[in-house]
Amino acid sequence: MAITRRRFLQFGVGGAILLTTAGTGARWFQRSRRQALNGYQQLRAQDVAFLSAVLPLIIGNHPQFAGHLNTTLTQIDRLLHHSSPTKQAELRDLFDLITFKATQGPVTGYWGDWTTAKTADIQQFLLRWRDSRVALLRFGYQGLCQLCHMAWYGSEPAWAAIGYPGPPPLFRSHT
Amino acid sequence: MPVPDIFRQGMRRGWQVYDGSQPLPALPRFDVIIIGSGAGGGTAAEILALAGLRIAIIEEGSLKTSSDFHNDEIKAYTEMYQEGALRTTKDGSISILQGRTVGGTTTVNWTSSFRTPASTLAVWENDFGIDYANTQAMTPWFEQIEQRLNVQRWGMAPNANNDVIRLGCEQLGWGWDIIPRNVTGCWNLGYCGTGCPVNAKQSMLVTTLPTALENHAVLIHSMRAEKLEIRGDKVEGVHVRGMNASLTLSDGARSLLLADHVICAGGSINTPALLLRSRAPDPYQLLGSRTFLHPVCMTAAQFERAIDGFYGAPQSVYSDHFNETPANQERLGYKLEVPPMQPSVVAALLGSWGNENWLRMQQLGQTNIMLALMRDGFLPDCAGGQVELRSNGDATLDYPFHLAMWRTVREALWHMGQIQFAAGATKVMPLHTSADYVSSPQALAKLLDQLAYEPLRVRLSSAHVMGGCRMGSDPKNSVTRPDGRHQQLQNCWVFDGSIFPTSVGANPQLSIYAFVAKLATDLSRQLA
Repeated sequence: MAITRRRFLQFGVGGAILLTTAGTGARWFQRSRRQALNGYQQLRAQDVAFLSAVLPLIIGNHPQFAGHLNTTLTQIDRLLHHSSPTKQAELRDLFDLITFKATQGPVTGYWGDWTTAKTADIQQFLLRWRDSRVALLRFGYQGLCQLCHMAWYGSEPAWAAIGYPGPPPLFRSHT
Repeated sequence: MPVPDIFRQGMRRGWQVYDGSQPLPALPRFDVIIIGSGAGGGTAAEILALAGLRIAIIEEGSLKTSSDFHNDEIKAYTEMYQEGALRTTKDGSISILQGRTVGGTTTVNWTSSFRTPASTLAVWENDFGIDYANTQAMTPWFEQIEQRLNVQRWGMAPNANNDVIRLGCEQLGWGWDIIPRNVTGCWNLGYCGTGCPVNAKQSMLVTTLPTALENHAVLIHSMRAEKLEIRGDKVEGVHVRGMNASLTLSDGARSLLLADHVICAGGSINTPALLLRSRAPDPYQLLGSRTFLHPVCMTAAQFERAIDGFYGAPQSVYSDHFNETPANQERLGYKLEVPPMQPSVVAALLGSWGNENWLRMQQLGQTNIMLALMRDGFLPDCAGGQVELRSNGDATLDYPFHLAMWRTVREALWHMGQIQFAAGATKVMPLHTSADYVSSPQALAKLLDQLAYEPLRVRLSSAHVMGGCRMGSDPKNSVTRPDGRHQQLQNCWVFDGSIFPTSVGANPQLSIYAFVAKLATDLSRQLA
């Protein structure tokens, strides 16, 4: 029953309304949690916790990734920090929807704590958003995955394993 | 440093270059203020400075020059692209790559330099009353710019990524050709998109802006033009404000710069937004409408041979086999090209997650991506997008996709896949959230039948933004006159890609240079 109701909320006309209201609510309740975490310009504690949980799954079996979670988080933070107030707000809203207790379950389909989520839970969440009829969730899926992939594959430790020798050494930054 | 940094050298010789995030010296009243330093602003700056006019160039991006260019994707995206390369249309469905740095997009583009297609000029002349929009009148301007920026058909062998177009088209009997590029002494590195580290690319950064600065122009970077000061039918000056260190917003010192004439050259999206923020007269509600993107859809292909598309001139071969808009009007024309294949952007394009993405990325060196850029703005119901202001005054573009576009996407994906298979690809994948690689044209046809053609399922992007302040002879149907002047404001000019009434149908930089060269030359004669 509960599941049917949740599915209705996600797929029905009410879905978009739920998202909007929930988004606003989440923003309101999360005001106390909107400070960037120490060491970051944009990412807050809840964003870092969520991203740390999903990044290994989004990146896959890249042999170098395990030692470079923090590099990747820093790159994500850097991309966001230089984007625009609008993009920063869109991503904050997205992370709020995903991590705020009242919205997380209905919107992501996963009700537990992200830091202890199983691979299958995260797979389900990504599939649900990828194939959603709600464009906002598809945007969330695309935005989340693109940001993670851009950040990791823009980092030097990612390159050797994909056969990318990197820019010619003559031009690399030595700072 | 492998080559001299000619921009920094010029600054040491005394060019007047100021950082708008720092306190400015007292500045005089200018003859002309140019807002934007890209293809339009740079071209106009050289012409007007050489005519002896006192000009100032305002640029919201920061100053990055060859010694700052390290072929680092993330560094370049965050420092030199609008919204840190994360700009999208309003609903997030189309990624937009646009420059935000001194030299504008010309500093980070891929150097493809095509003349405006004759069929496009004909529409501008016949439907919009731009009487010089024809091959005869424009040829001298194309020639002048081609000479100025050393535009020539690429002479070296195309890299294997580009060669897929040649091979495939030859197999299929479809047309293809070599791309003309604006480079001098190109090292064939492949990193045009992160700023040319050897100053081979003849961008505004190393050509027209240095000439303007040698001729006493003032350049203020990291400074946003927030609003025009408008009184009646005249612009009195420009309200500017310094940008913050991450270039996300203008929160620095404010000034009002005064000038007899103002040229808006911030590019499409930004120029209409500036005029909207300034509440410029717009009696027919046209400002920001008919903004075009050349929306791009893509297919990836894996080969058994090395492609290594991250190295070598990023764009050197194209096909116009499908580029004319057909008379039956059921689809748009589209031009076929390839993008550079550096890993950060490619990882985002190849999509999916986990091991599926990882397997795709492991084949980076054997992967080709092909793109179809659609020629929007030529069908009656193909009116492009609308630039709007967000509550903080920033611009956004609402760009709806219509049925003929989705039909064109599907057809283009099919034709690109055919070219890739004909060139020897073992697998082809349309860039779509529900698609994976398939191993034969038959399987591709079947897959294309099954896919949903919707926003945020088909991967769409744009590197060409045009229109929003379209020219025309009829004030009821245009924002600017054919001479680039604002229809209602006597001393306000728009000299950038936003004056185009449709998309160009080819990479737009040479069209912007040539049209602005003509319009700025006419203006300089008027003001001299």
